[in-house]
Amino acid sequence: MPRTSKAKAKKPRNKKKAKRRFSRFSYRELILLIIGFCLPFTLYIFYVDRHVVEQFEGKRFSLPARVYARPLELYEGKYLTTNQLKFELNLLNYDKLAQANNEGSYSQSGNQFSLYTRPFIFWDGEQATKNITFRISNNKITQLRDENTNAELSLVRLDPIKIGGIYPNKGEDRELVRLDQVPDHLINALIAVEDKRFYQHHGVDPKAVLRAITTLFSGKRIQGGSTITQQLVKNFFLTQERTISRKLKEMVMALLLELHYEKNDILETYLNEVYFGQDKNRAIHGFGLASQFYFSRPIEHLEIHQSALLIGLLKGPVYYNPRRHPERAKKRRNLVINALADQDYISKQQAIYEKKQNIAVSKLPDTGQSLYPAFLELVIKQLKRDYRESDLRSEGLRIFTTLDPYQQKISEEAIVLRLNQLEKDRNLPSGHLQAATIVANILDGEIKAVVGGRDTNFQGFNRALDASRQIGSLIKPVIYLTALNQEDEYNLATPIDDSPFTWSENGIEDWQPQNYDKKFHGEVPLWLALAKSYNVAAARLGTQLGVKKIIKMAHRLGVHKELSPYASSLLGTMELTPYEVTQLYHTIANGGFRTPLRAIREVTTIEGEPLSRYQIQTEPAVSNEANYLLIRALQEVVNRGTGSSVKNYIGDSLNAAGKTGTTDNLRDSWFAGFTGDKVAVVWLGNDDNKSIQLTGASGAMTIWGKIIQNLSSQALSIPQPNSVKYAAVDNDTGFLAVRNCSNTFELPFNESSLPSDGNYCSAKTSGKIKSWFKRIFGKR
Amino acid sequence: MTIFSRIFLSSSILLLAACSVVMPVVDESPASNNQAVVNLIQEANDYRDRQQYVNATASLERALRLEPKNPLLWFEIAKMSKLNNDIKTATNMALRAKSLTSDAILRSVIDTFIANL
Repeated sequence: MPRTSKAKAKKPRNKKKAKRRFSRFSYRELILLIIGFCLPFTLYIFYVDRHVVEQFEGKRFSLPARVYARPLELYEGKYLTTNQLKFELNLLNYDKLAQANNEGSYSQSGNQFSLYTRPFIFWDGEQATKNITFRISNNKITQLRDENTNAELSLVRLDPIKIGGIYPNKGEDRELVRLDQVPDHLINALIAVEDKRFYQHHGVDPKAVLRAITTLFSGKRIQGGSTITQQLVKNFFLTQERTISRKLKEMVMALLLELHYEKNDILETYLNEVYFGQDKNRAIHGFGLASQFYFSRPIEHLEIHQSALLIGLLKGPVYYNPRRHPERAKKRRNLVINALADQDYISKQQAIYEKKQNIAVSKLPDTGQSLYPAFLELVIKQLKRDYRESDLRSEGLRIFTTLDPYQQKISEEAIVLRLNQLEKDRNLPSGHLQAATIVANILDGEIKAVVGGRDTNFQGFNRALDASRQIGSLIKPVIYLTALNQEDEYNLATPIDDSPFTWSENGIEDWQPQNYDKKFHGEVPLWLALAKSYNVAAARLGTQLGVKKIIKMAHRLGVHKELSPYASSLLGTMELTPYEVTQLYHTIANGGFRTPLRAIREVTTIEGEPLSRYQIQTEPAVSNEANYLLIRALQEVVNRGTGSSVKNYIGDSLNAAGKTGTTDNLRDSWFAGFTGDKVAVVWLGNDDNKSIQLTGASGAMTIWGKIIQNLSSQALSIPQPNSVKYAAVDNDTGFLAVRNCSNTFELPFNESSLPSDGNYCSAKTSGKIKSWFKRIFGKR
Repeated sequence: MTIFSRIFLSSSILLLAACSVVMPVVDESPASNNQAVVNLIQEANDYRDRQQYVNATASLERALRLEPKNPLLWFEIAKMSKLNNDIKTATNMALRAKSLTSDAILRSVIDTFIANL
């Protein structure tokens, strides 16, 4: 017993001891356990808190750079057709009304227009809205006045057309709005539908969580439960995965966010964050942009039913897309309107009225990231010289470019139309042909249009900038300019030998150039050799002058690329892009002044503060006189040379100058030409470098002709240098006229190269040429 | 007095006489018949008076987009570049202006401008 009692007595003691031991253990372990569990959790909370604050304190959104076309300037006497004006107003989303009475609207009565312009911040300051009126008579603006005061106006600048953006990598686009810009009814609708207790909870709504858990256990689909703050956290910091851990993290972050920030700050961020669908590769985010995207109006001007539609879209921008599924969108919108009425934000009558409104969304802009991707690529290339790409994609810069949307449209249409026609005419498979073009102003070097291929919306390979192709005879003006630059030896009537020619060079097979017509033409005047694009004459002249000299001239004209110094380069085996060819011909068209082509005028910050301006730069590259003579010869290409059929498109009045280019086996077809104010280059070919069976004249030139035909253009007329005089040239031979002065036409000559005794048929007199000038001026 | 001295003297007198007539003519003639261009030149002058040469040039370039072949506008940009101490641009713009005019007086004024840069 005692054993037993001992044992009995021992047991409780042992028990007590064990209990005490357990208690000691458990307390210590419990503390350790608590520390073990809580410390990581606490650290995690600190980590998450820091993450939330850092991201929210910094720049919340990456804002794309916005790229604008040149603004349309209106002034007395400006050439403008009604079609062009309407095209621009349409791109600007101006509403045509019976009376232009709000910003961004216009009215038309016959040839009388009234415009209510939008305010806009340009590089040189803010331009207020204007209510103007004017007439378009004979394609010119007259009677430009202030509609309200009837005062004459000298110059009005419309807001520029947005032609694209340089987007963050996900293609997100948004227009930031402040909370005070957002109509009350939109916020009411948002709260009524998405988070009724937004202003009461602290980021997580326990009632909503309980409701969500209840539905989960009842086997129904999980629904709702997320507050506006949680939705913001999910979009802003987390992924879209549906897991418990992600949900818990979302709750923690929502609580932390509300701990640090005001409700209105959170609400404003939410309004700018939410997703509203896709425009091709552009993601529409935020109510500010959504308002423009769906209703073409600023958020301040949204009506109740429109706000309700946008709120309805939040549930599923694809499923409720009002353009594709208007009935679904309407049902959803009406639910939102009902919610507004149920929660007494609007009256029942008001709700009935709003629900009666049609789903009137604006036409889909359908622009994706850019209306004109080929031009935009050029803009980005030029911007990258001065700006970091990351800044271009995130700082919301405003880029003002030189693009003329109307010239762009005409160029695109000409390419599409002519390529289809050429393929049809020649039984070529559809899509066999590709083309590219660049159109630029001559005087200031502003690029007005860039087309990178027949699919003008394609955002890939840009042939205008990146397709390096052999340029064929487009190199010939460089050869003849090099010659004319030696004014003592060459003028337009200098005989050039077009008889058989062999070029031998160490290490290279003998080269025997041929003419396109497989004939030789003996001695021909320089201008005619160029006009008829004789290969042999050009090759012989080029080798006499020296290939290096020709290449040097090409560089002076603006070609930066290194060119191979082989004789075959003289017949255009050198490869250039349409952009490089445009720069080269631009210098010629510009009177021998090299002006770097520009696609950008100015850049400002998102607020409109000026950052950079791209001023016109120009410098004399070649002698004014030699360039003048060359241009006259290039006019003869169009008058009676290989480019004469372009007059079927543009007539005679423009005195255009240009040059055709064709490469071996008819692989590339080129035309580079200019009028008094525009230079344009067209390339036509096949991406696989297959034969296209088209010459420069039968292919590219027809596109060039179509473009110039449909654009207003000034006649080519260049001030005559003082030292240049005109003299008569025999119509039959092309050489300086001496005896028969009746059958002639005039060409310019450097005065010093004309016979000093006046023995030639000048523009007004006639006479005989002395024999010692024969070498320079020709046979007769 | 040698024949060369006489030629030099008479040429100098003629040049001076021409300059005395030329300068006011160029300065006083309207640069354009287009009121928009005239207003933009005025705007440029206002900027110039405030020594805001970049803005002044921007206004002139805007005018140039309206009348790209107007040599006086190119010459105005040249003058503005000179004020902005950009001598290279001033020279090139002046040369461009000269290439666009056959007016002997304006050409002479431009030559003088370039010579004095």
